[in-house]
Amino acid sequence: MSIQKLNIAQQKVLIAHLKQGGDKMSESMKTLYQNYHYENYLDQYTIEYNTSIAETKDFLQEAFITFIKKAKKPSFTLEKDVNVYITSIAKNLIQNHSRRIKTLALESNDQKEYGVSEPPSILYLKKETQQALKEIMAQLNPKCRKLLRFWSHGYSYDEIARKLNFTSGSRARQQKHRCMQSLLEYLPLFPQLKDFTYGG
Amino acid sequence: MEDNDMVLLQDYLEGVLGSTQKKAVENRLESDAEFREKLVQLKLARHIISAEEDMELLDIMHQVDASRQANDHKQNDNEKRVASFNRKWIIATVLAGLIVILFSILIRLQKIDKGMIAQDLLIKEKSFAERGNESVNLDSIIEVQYIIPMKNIRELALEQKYDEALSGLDQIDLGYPNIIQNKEYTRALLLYLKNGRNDPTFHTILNKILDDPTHSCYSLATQLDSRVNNLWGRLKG
Repeated sequence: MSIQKLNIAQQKVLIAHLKQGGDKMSESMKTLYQNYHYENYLDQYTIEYNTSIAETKDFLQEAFITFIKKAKKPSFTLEKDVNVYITSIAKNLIQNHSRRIKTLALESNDQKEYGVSEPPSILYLKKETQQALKEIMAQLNPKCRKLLRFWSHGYSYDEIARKLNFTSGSRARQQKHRCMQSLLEYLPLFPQLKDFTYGG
Repeated sequence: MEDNDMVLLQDYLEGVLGSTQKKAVENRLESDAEFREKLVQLKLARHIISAEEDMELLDIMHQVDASRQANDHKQNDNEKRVASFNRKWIIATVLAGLIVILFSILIRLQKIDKGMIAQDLLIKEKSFAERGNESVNLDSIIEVQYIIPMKNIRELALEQKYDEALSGLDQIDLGYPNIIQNKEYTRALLLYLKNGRNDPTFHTILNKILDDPTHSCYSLATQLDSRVNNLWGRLKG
């Protein structure tokens, strides 16, 4: 299947769909990823930043995830080609990583031991943790899941109320508290998530 | 039923509490272990929400990557198939070419080289012309000076008039390699038959030469058994 390169106008529509949530969001993420040919940057970045191909691939994929999260935020507006955003995020990720490695190399072992470790990215989560995450969220009703996602993207309660047809922002807020509480009620069923932290 | 502590802590995490309420929550967090545990739980829930959503994105990425890989494999397979098809055709073409060349060599070996004869005949042609004859056709010279005498020799051989056949053979004076060769084999075979060695193999070969005198008997000669080779050796000696 060949994917035609998207122009800025088409990309803007996809970003708007991302913000809408639901099926359109999933479709948009898929189309944007199909349009993102990270393999084109693999060799260049691997040589430029002296990393391995596997590492560069992870950074380029993580950059895509980071971009999608940024793009979902209500304040985000697309001004350039999506690939420009993603590649600049990827470059930052790689540069930060190299800087961190250099700093660690300069530190003593004791400092390393007590140094602050970064929470893992979604790319490096264990399979069983990934499965548990899917299962625990599947316990919630679809409206709750949507609400929590909008809330997690930084939408105000008024915006959430409009999107999900609540009478007011405060109703949306109450509902969010309930959804959060029911999520917490399911937690004991998933002991593998007991100490779960996520930096995404 | 809503847990008021949880509502309070969610507001605290969202940063929507006033300064007095915030201070009160922080003081309680220091002293109340259960309240602290609830905050930990809420933070965990926020991590789960955030991660689960990224999981959906990751699943989509995996699907797209898998479909890309499948497409790449398909493309590679197609390229391999085309390359193998091309390779087969190249081999077939080369083989066909070789076969054609081989056949043309064989055919050339089997035929009397008219070009060579023509070159040598130029002198004769010239002398014919000098003597006032009309221009002479190469085929007619071969017909008159070689093919017709060979046919006569065949008739004589069938009538077992080997001496006359041998003397007819001597009168053929076209000195071209294939003709000389055919003459020599014919002479050997005639002598052999004349001496009463009535071997069917020799009859066959002689007939083949005399049936088509333009045919080079080289390939026939190479098939002769050792008896003929010995005879040929003795005659040469």
